[in-house]
Amino acid sequence: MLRLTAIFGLVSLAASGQVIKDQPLPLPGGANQPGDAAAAVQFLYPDKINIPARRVAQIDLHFRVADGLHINSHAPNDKFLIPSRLAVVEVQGLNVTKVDFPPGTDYAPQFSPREKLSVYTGEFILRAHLTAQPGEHLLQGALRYQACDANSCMPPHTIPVSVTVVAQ
Amino acid sequence: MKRNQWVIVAVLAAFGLMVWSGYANYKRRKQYAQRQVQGAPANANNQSVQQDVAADEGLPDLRGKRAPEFSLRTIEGKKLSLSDYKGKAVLINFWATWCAPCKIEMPWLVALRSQYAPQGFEILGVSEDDADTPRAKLAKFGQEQHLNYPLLVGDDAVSRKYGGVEFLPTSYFVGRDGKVVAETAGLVSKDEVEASIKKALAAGGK
Repeated sequence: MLRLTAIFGLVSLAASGQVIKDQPLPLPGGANQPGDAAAAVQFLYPDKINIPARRVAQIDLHFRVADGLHINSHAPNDKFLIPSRLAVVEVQGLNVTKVDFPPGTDYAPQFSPREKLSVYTGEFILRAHLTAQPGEHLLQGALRYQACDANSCMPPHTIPVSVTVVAQ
Repeated sequence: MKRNQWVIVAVLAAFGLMVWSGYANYKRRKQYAQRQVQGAPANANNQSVQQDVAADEGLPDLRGKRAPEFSLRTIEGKKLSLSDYKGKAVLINFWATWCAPCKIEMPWLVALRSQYAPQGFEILGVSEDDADTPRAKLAKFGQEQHLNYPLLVGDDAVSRKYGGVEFLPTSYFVGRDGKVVAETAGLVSKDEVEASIKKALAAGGK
């Protein structure tokens, strides 16, 4: 069974249309390591991005859900389901103000076709809005998700997200 | 061939092996999922499906072995042990509030529990939610699902005894003699669940 513990001192949770500041986000302690084959979701890119300094910029964070699996969207249709969330580490000179999550697509489980879950499959993109002081910064965060296939579910996981942001 | 070329060949071969291994693993898992989607009725094929479950999902093959003993608290705080159900057929059902397939099978379990309880059948629902999940949340979930069997707050030690429980739902069917007669990982058809319950009731005599 997976235990929830805080990791990395993650302090800022950014959600679609709102930002929750200075609130620790509990995340599973068993965060996957980069390249972990067991991870249902992979952070694809970018590794590095150039943005104008001191102006609001956007970064599209690309993820991919493994074939045959789905994860809950940011707004699942059931209150007991675990939404996908992104937590970012607050660092000096870099401020993430908002993250837009795409709407989920409807998914009807094989054994319950009338039920509609809101999920992400395949590749999906989170758009982060940020401002940065001139210089190079490391945007670090973690995506928490809960994945299932047609017949079974896996415990919630987190994967690290890391982007070098060069502000000029 | 120069040494550098041998190194490149070795690296490519290793990479190829990794890709092949990953693909083979994915293919096995997909085949298993497809068999489950077909909802194999209770027949001889079930045996092979369950063997595959043990092999593919990392379940320990406990069939024919005594079900690992455990003591857990119910969501109401009462201590409950598997040994309390000595002489009964027991379905140990690992679930979580966040598990949609678990929710799908719960009405089946409620109905089957009502049907077979008079014959000496019980279900123990072991929650795999995080330890800090409020009991009230588990209770609310149970109420909304109209569950008519005990809900237990699981822990890592018990999960480990049952192979780590990496996929939900996971079920172990224990005969009257205390031995596991069937095990499933992932949602299976109601017919298959019922067949395993009958098997558990038949095992070990009355």
